[in-house]
Amino acid sequence: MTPVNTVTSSSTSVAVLRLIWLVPRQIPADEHLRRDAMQSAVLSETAQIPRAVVPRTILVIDDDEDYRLLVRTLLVRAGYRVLEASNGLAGLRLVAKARVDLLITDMIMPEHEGVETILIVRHMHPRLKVVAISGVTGCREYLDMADRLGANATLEKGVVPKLLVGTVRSLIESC
Amino acid sequence: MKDVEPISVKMPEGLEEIVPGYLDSRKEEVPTLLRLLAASDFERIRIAAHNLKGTGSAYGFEKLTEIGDGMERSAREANAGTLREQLNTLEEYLERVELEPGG
Repeated sequence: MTPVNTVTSSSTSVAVLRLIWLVPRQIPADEHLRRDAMQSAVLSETAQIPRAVVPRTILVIDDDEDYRLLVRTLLVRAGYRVLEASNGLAGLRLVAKARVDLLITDMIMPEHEGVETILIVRHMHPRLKVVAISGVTGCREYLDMADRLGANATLEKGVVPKLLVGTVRSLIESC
Repeated sequence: MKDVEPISVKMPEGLEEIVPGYLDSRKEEVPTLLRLLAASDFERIRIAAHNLKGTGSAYGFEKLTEIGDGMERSAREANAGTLREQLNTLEEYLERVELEPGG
């Protein structure tokens, strides 16, 4: 498993190494596919819309409800469908069962931090576009790590809305 | 009640509908943070401060990010005295903010 060489030595890298080996056991699960009633509703709705008019779907993973609201507001206004998860594990379940075109993940969260989430997404969905976000100070090291793990873009949370939407649009159009 | 000089904050374009609600939530959060401080629950204060740091400037409030950053550090150090001062600063700032459209 060579990709791990890019991770600097830290407790995070230990967690990452452990997760690589746990991936098949942690994200299998057909039982996850049956759970989330809200998500089922979204999927049903999607199924009824002709393929040509289905908007691109962005999944926002962040434990802070206020930040999810901000991102959802901006992206819905920009014409995207937005799914939300409050932690990495819930986000990965959504990725497993819904069509997601781009993932925005916070880097510091309970139940799978961003590093773990990106690593697993890269392992299981290598073509999915990923944007890593984090708080404004003292968090650059997390964004650098996200960059090394294969995030397509990294942003600090305080960036102006236009930059966030522009980054998403640019990545989506390159899909 | 003393008069306070207002601080004008321009709402970021596209977020005008949600910024007032965000501001109200922060005001409502202050008493909760004071209760947490009284209970020495520094971990929950740290989480709230981290979120304040992350969302403040995104919603157009650079000052909230600055206060949140300081509170997060103080909570990590379990520094109750500094936290109390920072919460006072937060409360005073929130009291003075006036929103303007289109930032």
